Parts: sequence; structure tokens; C-alpha cells
Amino acid sequence: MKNSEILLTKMEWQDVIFASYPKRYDLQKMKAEWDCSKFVLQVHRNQAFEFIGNILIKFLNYSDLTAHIIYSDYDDSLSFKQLQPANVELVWLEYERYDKYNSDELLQWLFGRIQQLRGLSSAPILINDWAAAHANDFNQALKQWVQELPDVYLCSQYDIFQKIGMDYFSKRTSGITSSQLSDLAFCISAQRFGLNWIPSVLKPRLKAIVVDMDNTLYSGVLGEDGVQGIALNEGYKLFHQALLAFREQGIFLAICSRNEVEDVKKLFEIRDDFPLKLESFSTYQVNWESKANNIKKIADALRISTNAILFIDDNIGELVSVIEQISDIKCLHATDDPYANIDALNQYPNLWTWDISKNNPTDKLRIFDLETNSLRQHLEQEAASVEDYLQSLKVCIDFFLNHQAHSYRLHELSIKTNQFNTALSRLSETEVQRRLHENHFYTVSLQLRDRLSDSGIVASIYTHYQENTLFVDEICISCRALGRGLESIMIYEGLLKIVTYNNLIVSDIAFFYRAGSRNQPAFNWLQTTLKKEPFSEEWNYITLAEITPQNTLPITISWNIP
Amino acid sequence: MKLSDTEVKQVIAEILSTTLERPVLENEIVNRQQEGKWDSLKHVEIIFSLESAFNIQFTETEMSELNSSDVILTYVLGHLNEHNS
Repeated sequence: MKNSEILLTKMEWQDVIFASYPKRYDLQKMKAEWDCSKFVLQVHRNQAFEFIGNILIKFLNYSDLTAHIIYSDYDDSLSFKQLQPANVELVWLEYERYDKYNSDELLQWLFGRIQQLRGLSSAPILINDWAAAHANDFNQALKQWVQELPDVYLCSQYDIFQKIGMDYFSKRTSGITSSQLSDLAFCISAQRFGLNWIPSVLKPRLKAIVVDMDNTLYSGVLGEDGVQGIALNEGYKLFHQALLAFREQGIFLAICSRNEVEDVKKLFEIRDDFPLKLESFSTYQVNWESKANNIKKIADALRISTNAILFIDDNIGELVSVIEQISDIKCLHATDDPYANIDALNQYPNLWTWDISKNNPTDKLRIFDLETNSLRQHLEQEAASVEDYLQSLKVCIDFFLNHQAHSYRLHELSIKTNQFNTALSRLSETEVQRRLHENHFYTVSLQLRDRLSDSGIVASIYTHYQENTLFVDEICISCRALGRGLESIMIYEGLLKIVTYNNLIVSDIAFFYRAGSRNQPAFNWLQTTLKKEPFSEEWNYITLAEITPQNTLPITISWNIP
Repeated sequence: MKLSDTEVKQVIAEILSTTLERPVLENEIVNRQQEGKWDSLKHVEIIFSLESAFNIQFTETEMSELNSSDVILTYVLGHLNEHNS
């Protein structure tokens, strides 16, 4: 199936997929005829999941995923006796069945069972909370506890219960479904699992939303209706606010529009009723060139891949033209109903994320960090030497060894970094946690700051030690930290400190390298360090003596060692 | 908008086709006893799909009796007529 045909089918599905109250009959009629990535979802349960499972697939298909679902027997004890290898574990419980426990006892028992599952499986674990008015304290305690566990996520049935009230339950059908849930609750749950909860544990989050302007950000055509002629009703204002909320979370906003740039500047200057301002957008391409080319320029300016972009346009022809030239971009059709567009935006796969506080603050720093890049480039051009440039920036690198609190960010760097990523091993948060705990494994996380911005945790070095050799399993440096000439100092300082702090007797350092489609910067660095081309899928050795300390540069370095 | 009997039959046939994973003709009589795939899970799926398609709600007694396409048609038409009267 051609990309444009897939896009057109997904556009036809939009109303049903993103509906506030999705309907089973509408969902059942949809059939995806494109290739979807298959994964295994294992359900540990004491109630029916089948009525979610059989429509969940439709939502997953919209996310280009499909699932093989393994169901456990109905097992109140969560024995995990039937455990099989899986990509996602789901604990799906009806808590009313545990009436012999009080709330604290139930929580304690549940913690024990989830920890047991965590030990048995390294896959992300999803768990539902309690959809009942009296369960607020229980849910809060569960939420807090889940935030502390790696790769465990709370799927809030309580939120769905709050949305639809007592329609969540159906006594009428409980006799035939072995569940208290109504069909509406099944359908909304399937929507959340298929669009939000499952995609977010299987794929990295998108990084940018690129929007068209005419009939997307407002009703009307700027070039024809003029600045005062275009209409911004309440729905479009809320759409603006939804976009701004994503910017607050660290998602870049950009404009790609066929208009005169002067008209656009005038529009944002004059129309003070616009919640979005021109400064809300990290970059824009307003001209009469092809939108595909403009989007590529936007991706370059934001230093991100086109596969991390959601493009929103009301013009179907433009969307088709873009997807034909940029096959990995995500597209959303802006309908003439801004409220429907808000629903679609807020539920769009891999744009939605878990409570951002669970994860890390680095996403939020991304936008400001990029905005300061032009200042950095200016300083670099003005400076007489690299030393002067770094001196003027007042660069600080904070190194952290085996720092537990960074586990999510470390996992995120491993799965998201494509350019400076030596091994592309795509570590799960559970695998990261294991490395942070186990003997002979040494993991360094690096935070980069200068006088212009704090970039947060931007690099990671994973190593393990064995028989006089320090094995460097993976090095990831975010593209936000590239281009400042700091790669070698970050890596060498990290490796040397691992050796000296842990009193390791090291003669050789071995770098694992795996060639990917886009990790040329990692290849280049390894080639310089090894003084020869690295072999892919192999360990590449140098002696420790070849690693030169580089702290002669005017950079402040600090170490945080537990 | 009032559906004609033919349109109702078409929707029922469509739901049975999707759920039982075989083509079901509009005027075909389909019996639960003769359909290997029509198990208790599929039965619930058929009920939910019918309720969702026609915006109706079956009673518990009706749900246990919806075991063939002609009974389904009778009950669905009954509910739709209640709506329209």
C-alpha cells in the first residue's frame, strides 16, 4: 500500500479513532491494509480484557502497530505461572474482588506482585488503577509508588470513570462479560491503550508539531481575507492553547505555510487575540516553495529527524504531497471543526506522554536550549580560538556515575539518539536500572550547562569491566550537545574517571560499534579515536594509554559519585 | 433517520460477517448452534455491535435469546419501532 493511500485511509478513520465516545460498530468496520509492527501484549488479569482487546487492534493500527495478545487465566493471586516472553506486560485487575483486604494491605500485596513481575520480565509493565469514587487514596498511593519503579506505568481507569461517571459500569451486561465495565468503558479504554499508553512505551515521543496556517490555526485565508478578516473562534483559540501546552512540555512548534512572510508577521503583531505568538514557534518556513522541502528545512533547524514531526494541514493535497516525499513523517488532517482537531492532537500517538514529572525535565529544556544556539554560533564566529569560545560560554560539564535518578533519561537517550549513538542497543529503562545496580557495570550520565542555557542530561556512557578491559557498550550524545567540540572531553573524562575511581586495572578499552542508517557522527568519532574505521557488530580495541585527558580546555568539570 | 428493514438486515449481516469472520448474506439465516465461531465471547461482541450500530439496549432476557439472525432482526426492529413511536 502506498504511503499516500495509508494517509488517506487514516484520514477517513480520524473521526472514529479520536472520537470522544468511540463506537464499537464504527471501529469494527475499519480494516488496516498496511504493514504494522507486531508486538506481544501479555495480560495478567482477574477480569475480561477481550472486549477491549478486539477493538484495541484498530487503534494500534492507526499507530502502525499490531498486537498478539496473550491472556492469562483469571487469576486473583497474580501467580504469573503462565508467563511467556512479551514486549508489554499488562496487569488488568478488578479491585472490588479483593474485599478481604483493606486498602493498605491490598497496596502492599500488589507492590509485592509487581516487583515479582519486574524480576521476571524486563518489558514495560502497565497497570490499571481503581475506577471507583471511594478509591482516590488508593489510586494516589498507587500512582506515587508507580512513579518510583522503572518502566511501570499507571493506566488510569479512574480518569475514564470521572469522564463518563456511572456509564462506566453496566450491571445489565456484567453477567455475560465477567466484568463490571460497560461497552463505552471498554471502547474508551481501548482508545487509551491503543493511542496513548501502549505506543508511548514502545516508541519514542515525537519532538515537533509543524502547522499550516490558513484554515488550520484560524478560519479563513490570510492572503485573501486579510489580517482582520480571518476568524478566530473559541474552538481555534483552544486549539492554540493545546499547541502551547505541548510547547510547555518541550515539543517544538513550527509553521510551514504558503503565505507572504510579511503578512504573517503583521498577523501575529496586530491580532492580539491570538494565544499563539510568532515567538511561540521555534522556526518557520513561510514562502511558496514545496512544503516537503520546507519541512526538511524545519527539521534541520530543529536538529531533529523528520520521523519525529507531526505535520498538521487542512489541505489534503498538501498532506499527500508531503507524505510522498517524506515517508516517515506523521500527518494529521485539520478538519473544519477545531474541537475535533484538539481531540486528535491531545490523543495523537506518541505525542501524548505520561505525567512528565515521572520522566525528566530535559524535554522542557529543549526549546530554550535550541533558541540559544544562534547566540552560541555568533560567539564561535567572534572568538579567536576554541579556547576563547569555550571560555566565553563558561561551559560546565557535570558527570554522574551510576545515578539512579537519571534512569528514565538514560533510557530515553538510548532509544532516541540516532546520530551520535555507537551501538544503537535501545536499552529499556529496566535494562538501564540493572546496569546501574549490578557489579562491574559503570554508567555515566552527563549534564551540560553554559552561561546561555542548561541543556540537562545530554549524554550517556555505558561500560562494563572484565579481565583488564573496560568494555564501552554504548555512548549516546544528544544532537543538542553536538557541534560544540566537546565529544572527546566528555567521553575521555568519563572513561578515565570510571577507571581511576573504581581502581580498575585496565590495559585496553573496547568500543562496541553497530552501523546504523544515521549514526555517522559516532562512526567519525570512533574512527578518529581508533585511528582506523571501526568494525560493525564487533569490539574495537585501543590501549588505555591512547586515551588522552583533555581537561586543558577552559571547561568546569564536576563529578557526582554516590 | 428511520432505517428500512433492508438497511437493518444489511447492518446485521455486516456485523455477523465481521464477528464470525465469514461472509454472511443479507437474507441468510444464521444460527448460533451451527456456527463454530459463535462462542460466548463472540456473542457479547455481536450484542455490543448491534447496540452500538442501532443505538439501542437489549434487556438481559433478550441478550440470552439473540441466538440467530432472524431473532436478532425481530428484536432490533422491535427496539427501533419503540424509538420511532
